[in-house]
Parts: sequence; structure tokens; C-alpha cells
Amino acid sequence: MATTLSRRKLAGNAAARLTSGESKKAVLRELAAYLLDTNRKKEAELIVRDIEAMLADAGTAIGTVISARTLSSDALMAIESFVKSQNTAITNVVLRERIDETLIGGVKLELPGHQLDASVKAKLEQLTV
Amino acid sequence: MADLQVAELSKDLQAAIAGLEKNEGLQSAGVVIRVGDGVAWVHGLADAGYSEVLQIDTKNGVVEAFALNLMEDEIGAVILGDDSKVAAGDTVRLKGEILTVPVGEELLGRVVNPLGQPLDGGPAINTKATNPVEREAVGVMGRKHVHEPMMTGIMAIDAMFPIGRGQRELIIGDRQTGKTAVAIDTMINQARNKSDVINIYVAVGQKLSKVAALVERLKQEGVMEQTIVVATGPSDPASMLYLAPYAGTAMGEYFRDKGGHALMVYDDLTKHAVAYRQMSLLLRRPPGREAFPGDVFYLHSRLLERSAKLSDDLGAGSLTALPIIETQAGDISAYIPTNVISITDGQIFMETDLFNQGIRPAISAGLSVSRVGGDAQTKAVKSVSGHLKLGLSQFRELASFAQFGSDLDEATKKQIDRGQRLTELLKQPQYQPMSIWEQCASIYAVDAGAFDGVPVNKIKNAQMALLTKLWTDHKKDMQELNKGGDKVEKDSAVAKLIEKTAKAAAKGFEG
Repeated sequence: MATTLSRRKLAGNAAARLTSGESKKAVLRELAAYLLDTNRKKEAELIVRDIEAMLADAGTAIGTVISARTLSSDALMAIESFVKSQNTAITNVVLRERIDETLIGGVKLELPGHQLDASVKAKLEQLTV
Repeated sequence: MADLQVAELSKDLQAAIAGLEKNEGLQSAGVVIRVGDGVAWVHGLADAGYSEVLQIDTKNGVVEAFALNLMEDEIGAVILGDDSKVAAGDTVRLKGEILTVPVGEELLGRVVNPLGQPLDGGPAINTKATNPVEREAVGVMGRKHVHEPMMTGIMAIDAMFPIGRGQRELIIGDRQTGKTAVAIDTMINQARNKSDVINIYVAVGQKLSKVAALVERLKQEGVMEQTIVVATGPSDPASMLYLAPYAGTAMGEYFRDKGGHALMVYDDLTKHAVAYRQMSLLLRRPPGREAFPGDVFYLHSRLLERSAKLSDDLGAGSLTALPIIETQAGDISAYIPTNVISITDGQIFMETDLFNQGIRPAISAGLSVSRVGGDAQTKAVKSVSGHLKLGLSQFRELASFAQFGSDLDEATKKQIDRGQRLTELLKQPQYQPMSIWEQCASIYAVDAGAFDGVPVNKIKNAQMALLTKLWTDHKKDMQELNKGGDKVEKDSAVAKLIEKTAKAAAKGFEG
């Protein structure tokens, strides 16, 4: 009886191949074929999250910065260095930007498996006397 | 006053701001991938620990859950509260602590849920301390043998199956046999005797109307001031029912660890096991016997092992447990009853037949036992009740034989006659616990044959007459006897006094 490979194992394999320099297209095509074959295409998004987490451990952090207004390049640089300071294994930071006015101010940083909510909205919600 | 309030407010605000400023690092975060039936499945949070609290950011605020299934790809977390607020895609954060409950004197007289939140409509409870809900039991060297009595006020128990402080004594029986009544009477007796024992009543999935009536009764009896009620109803999530006994125990441990004494009543552990079974099945854990998970023994053993008599080095406090188990048709060999029987230090078995015959409390003399309470029994009660249990067990056996024949030898007739009187004597109405002197005097009077001429149906009247006369005419002697430190020996002055008064009291009832 064939055993089902865990998402973590699938992601580990894909992340290792990507960091070793294999073609991204080829790796993802094989992964997609496996997911279709085993009827697990619903897990694709979760596997991507796992791959991102493993890539971060391998030195490349892919994250999203959400802010109320467009951030200056200095601010983005500061966030990048903050991410590197939190995990010394990270040498390369790739940040996607998103605007969400409901945050009022500050930033929200989403990294694989981690987050930092330094938005004004979150602080107001947390502020309980 | 106004200045003080402003100053306090300002201080609290500064503390809150300082707390927020400190919280500036990356937090572990996961995401809810499925939710339903009180269980959320979470992706991520690889560093979550077993039983760690998770905070789910929902659209309607934060909902807490605790991690029970740590698997390779996901975490199974049981939601504490309304699962309808949680949706797939919600962010989940680690709280960084295992579940704790508020503990302390502030909880006395209150009815709370397993999270320590008030259910009695009273003010918010602000305790100075919290205790983890799950905690390791005290080790061997931290314990002492059970040697102090925990008087229940129920003559049949105190005389035949004495319970000591730090003991775990199971109350087991079918529905409607008076299990809760025994536990409640024990709580009431603590208040009547002005003992320093704190009562903690844990209602697991009990009808809330029953809990409300119980609280009202405890208030009437003046017991509520030294009682905490941890209540969960049938409509509460299984997670709350699961947590209730552990939360109650954490509250009791606070008093135990301070060198005090607490009494835990778990009403009942059958429903607790059923709630755990529900959670386990929803968490996809493999079912075993009666569909309970494999660790259902550990569920109760780790709970009841926390009840202990502490060593002098640890303050000599104690936590006594009276777990309740409901059987089906008197079957004590079912899975959960046998588990809990083997964990506890004895059991009080309540029989439906006895209850229906009007013998209340319906305690079975043959099936009940107290394994460690002997050392804890007061000398006075011990000296009068030495052969009570054997005599009563033999009587019940002989009584069933005697139904088939009328030609009985004199010794057997005498044994049956004495047994009938003892059975009648041990009947006791609810909410009327008896003190040590009342128990000693009653048992000694019957044992000495002073009531042999009284018809069985008038034994209780004769007993009342005896007790009234003793208290009226010999109050000091009875107060001395109530201390329980001296044996009631056959030729002692107090024994002669009881016998003489009993014979005099019996005259008014002899047929």
C-alpha cells in the first residue's frame, strides 16, 4: 500500500531542489503532477506556505508588508534589515507590498510561519487598561 | 479618592503601553485550515507545545484554543468558547503559555466556569495568583500518609469506610441513588464542624438547574463562604467539560500548597470521560474500548493523583478527592468504573435496591471499602465501630437466606435482629450530618444491646431521644467525646453513661 507523503516532506523536497538551483518551473510542475495524481490539489496553498517556511530556513525569506500608505524605500530597507536581525540564517529578503487603509498606521509584516503586527489598529485593539 | 483613581489609572495605562512596547518581535503564526465541532485544525506553528494556548484572530475578536494534537502537517486545537466565530483562514498565534486559571481566596463563595470567569452574576474576580490547569502531581517524597480524618457526617461512612484528608474516595452507583447527596453532606459537615476545609464542587455537564439549586442550598446551610463551584452545563463545549476538573483541582491546589485543606468533589467523571471521548474522536484519535481513546485511564489518573496529603516540609496541606462515577444497572465492571476504582483509595458503592427499600444513604456494606482511611479514623468512632462492617455484611447475607426458612438457630436470629437495628440506625436524612459524639453514642447504644427491646421501626425515635437526653443532661461529656481523641471503652465512664441513658431512652419505645 502506497503511503501518503506528508506536506512537510513534499515541501522539503521542493525547497531543497529550488535552493540547489533546479529550475523553478520543473520543480513546481512535478509537484503539481504529484498533487493531481494523489488527488491533493486542495493542499497546494498549504504546501506553498511550507516551501516558503523552508526557504526562509535556507536563507530566503519571502514575506508581505501590509501598510496603510505606500512605504518609502528607506522604510522597506529598515524592514528588510529587521527581518535579517530576527533570523541570522536569512540572507535574502523578498518583500511583497500591500496597502490596507484599515491599519490606520504602522505596518504588518507576514513572513512564513511568523508575523509582526506593528499597526496602529492592532495596538488599539491590544490596549486594554 | 478621585486623585488616587486617576493616579492608578495613569499607572495602569503606562504599564499597558510598556507591555505593548515590549511586544515588538516576530511572533509565530499559523492559519486555520478547517474548523468544526469545537475543533480547529491549524497549519503552521511548528513550535507549538502540547496543551499550549493558541489565540485565533477572528473577525469578532480573539478566540482561544489549546493544542492537543501535534502532528507533522497540522495541529488539532480544541476551541475554548464559541467555534462559530472561527473561520478557515483566520490567523492563529501562540500565546506562549499553557492554560492557567485564577486561584485564591477571592474565588470563595463564587460560581465560576473552568476559566475562572464568574457565572453567578457577581463582580469580576481579580485574583492575585494563577495556577496552571495541568500540573504534575507531587512526588513520593513530597507526600505523607493519610492520617487526619475528613469527617463526612454520614455515620455509615465515618464508621465503616472512614475517609482521611488527602484520600481519593470514589462515590459510585446508578443514577438517582444519592451519590451527589453524600458529597454535598460532606461539604455541609465541613461548615457545621467549622473545619478549615475548603470545598470545591466541580459540576461536569450537570443540569444548570441542579447546580443552581445546589448553590442555593449551600448558601442556606452557610457552606458557600468556604466553597467554590466550578460549573459546566450540558450545553457547554466538550472542551469546557474536559477542563473543569483540572481547573477545579488547580484552585484546590492553591489552598493545599499553602498548608490548608481542600475537598474536591468531581460530579461526575463519567461525563468527563464522555466529553474527552467526544474531543478525541473529533481529533481523529483512534477509538478503543467503548470508543474511549487509549489514554482515558491517564485522563483520570493524572487528575486524581494531584489529590494528596503533603509532607511537613511542604506545609502538610491536603487535597481530598470525592470523584463520582455513574454506573449503568449497577455494572461496576464497565470500562470507566473499573479504571477509577483502581485509581482511587476506595469506593462508596450506592445500591439502587437499598435506595428503593428506603435505606438511605444507600451504601452497600459489602462492595464499599476505604483502603487508607483506617489510620485517619477518630479513636472514638473507631472504638465503637470495629465490627460494624462485618456484622452488617453478614446480616445482609443472612437476611437473604432467612427468607427461605423460618427455623433459625438462636445465634443467627440474634445476628439478624442486631443487623436490622443497625441498618435502621444507619439511615440518615439528607443535609443532617452527624457529629462525632452523636455517631459514637448511637452506635454504642445499639452495639451494647440497649435498643434490643425497641421495635425496629422505632429505632430512629429511640436514637433521637438518646441524643437529646445526652446533650441536655451531659453536654460537657458529649463535648469532650466530640473531640474524638479518646476511645469509648466498655468500662469507661462515658460508655456506662451512654448505655444507661440509652436504656432509659429505649424504655419509652419498647413494644
